[in-house]
Amino acid sequence: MGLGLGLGIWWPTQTSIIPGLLKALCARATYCENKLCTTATLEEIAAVRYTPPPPPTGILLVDYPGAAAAYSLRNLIDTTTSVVRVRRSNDNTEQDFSAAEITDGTLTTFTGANDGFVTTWYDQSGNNKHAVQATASEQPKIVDNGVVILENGKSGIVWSGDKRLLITSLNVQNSKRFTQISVFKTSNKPNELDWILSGYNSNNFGIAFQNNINESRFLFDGSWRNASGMITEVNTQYLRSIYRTSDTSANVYNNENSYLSNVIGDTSYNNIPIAIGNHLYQDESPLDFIIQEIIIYPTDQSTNRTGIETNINTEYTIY
Amino acid sequence: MEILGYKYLTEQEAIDARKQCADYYGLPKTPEDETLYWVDYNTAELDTPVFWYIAFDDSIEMILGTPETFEVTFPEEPTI
Repeated sequence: MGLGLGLGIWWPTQTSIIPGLLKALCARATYCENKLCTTATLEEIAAVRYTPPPPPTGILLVDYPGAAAAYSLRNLIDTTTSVVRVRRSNDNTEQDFSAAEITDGTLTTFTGANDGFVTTWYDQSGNNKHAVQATASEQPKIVDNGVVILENGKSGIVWSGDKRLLITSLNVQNSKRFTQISVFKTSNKPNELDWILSGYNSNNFGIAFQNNINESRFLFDGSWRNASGMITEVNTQYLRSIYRTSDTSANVYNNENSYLSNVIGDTSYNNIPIAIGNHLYQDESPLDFIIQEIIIYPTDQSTNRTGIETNINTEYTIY
Repeated sequence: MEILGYKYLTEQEAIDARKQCADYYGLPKTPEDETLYWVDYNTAELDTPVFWYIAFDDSIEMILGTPETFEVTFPEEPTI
């Protein structure tokens, strides 16, 4: 028995339906308007409902949200578009690039056989805390003579000499808790500091590593705090993380090996200027210092440490 | 610390020198671009009188001329 297209049929919104299926069903509905449709056809149309895809998994900031800022050359969240903006050395033209475009040849097609420098390392946390450098001579490098810089098969950014990316204002910690995670490698000579981050708010704040002493340093309240026994070898890739777990101490992990840092300070590090890859206002950036990822939470993420670091190590195969 | 570069007694002179370098290299290339300068100047704020300077780079010698050497005072790093 034929039926006209009746009222009362639930009709999904256009944005909630698969476009191809919508087109097919619209064609059938139009057919039904003009002629007669079977009950089965109408029921088929009425039954179409949008089934959302399962939430993505294995995406770091989806699984572990709440970062104050997050920088990488891979996608840390599924909504990321551009991860970096690059200036090519031959004519100073700039362009944004996605993670895929860094590896699929789009970036090196843009640079040609020239160098590419990072003008902006986009924050993927959603807080728009992009790390930028408006001065050409202080921009770190991502393409060297037409070749994307790689470390252990993954793209990275090289700081060499007077380079730094700046974040105008960042909330580093809340209620004396924070987490800072970085993937880096240094070829630095002894006695010089590798600055992952540095900042200032009445007292110096910083996370720096020195490779000729048997400890790594964290600058808080103008004093160095040390993870005794933790060394930074040259030409070794590290996944290093710091979790401030109490008012007086922090747990530090170096490629999964655990160290305890001593007391760190009370100064509020809310909304302070931050430099990546160098001291905030002094030139202490070493040679061939590669950073591939930095994630900062203004909270203690110790309970998520295994998951976060497994995600990172799966990407970079560090240990 | 001894610095090789270009020393200026007023901030405006440093700004003008920075602009000279940016103009030479055609920066900024478009209004949308992040890169505004070729080199930037620093402030020697711990020195008396305060002065401003641009650190030497090979790429600016033909613009700003022969550099000079001068002392700049930096805050002391904390000790362990």
